[in-house]
Amino acid sequence: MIPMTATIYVQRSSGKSLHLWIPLILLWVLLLPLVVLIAPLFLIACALLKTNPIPMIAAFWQTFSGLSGTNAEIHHQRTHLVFRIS
Amino acid sequence: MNEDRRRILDMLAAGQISAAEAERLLNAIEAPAAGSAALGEPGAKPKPKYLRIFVEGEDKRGVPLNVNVRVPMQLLRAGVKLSSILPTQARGPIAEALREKANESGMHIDLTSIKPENLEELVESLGDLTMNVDSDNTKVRLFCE
Repeated sequence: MIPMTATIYVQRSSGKSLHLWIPLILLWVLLLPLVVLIAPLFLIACALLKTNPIPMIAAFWQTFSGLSGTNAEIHHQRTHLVFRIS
Repeated sequence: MNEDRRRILDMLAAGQISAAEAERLLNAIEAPAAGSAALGEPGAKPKPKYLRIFVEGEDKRGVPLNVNVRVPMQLLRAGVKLSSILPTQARGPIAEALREKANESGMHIDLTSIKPENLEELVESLGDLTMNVDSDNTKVRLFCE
């Protein structure tokens, strides 16, 4: 499953906090035309390097869809940062 | 009907156990069998889904720093597969550069010998990996769940 949302939460001990919810699906939709434009260049590059593009596309897609479920939490002195991709 | 069920029913028929005890025994053998069936084989361990990394330490100023990272195993699998898609023209210079680094650090890595089936086995065996590192001011824990 491709990552759909990203959440960033920053909290400081002073009480200030920042909570961002980013709908990544919109970002992918915006990037789709760019991918369509780059696709022919990618295929030409694969042809020049005599590489099969399908395993490369599969590997990139697996990397991309594997991002879902990534969590990072950092607690440093007076700052607490949480980053999630789901 | 498997052997365990047959044995239980034979014991019930012979009057060695009561109906309630037979029911309890049948439920006991069926519960782990149902769980294993979901995993695809009897007694199979669930595949690890995440790699967890915990770091408890201090920064350069001595301020406590805690890091907790969860990385999906799928991302690890995909990441190591990326090495298999390197163009053949690039593998030679990369292998040469790694060999030079290996002479300095002592760690020999040969990308050309990495095969997809070995990668899957490597990632699966990570499920049993647990690493604990304790140094002066830093503790690192790494495990899969």
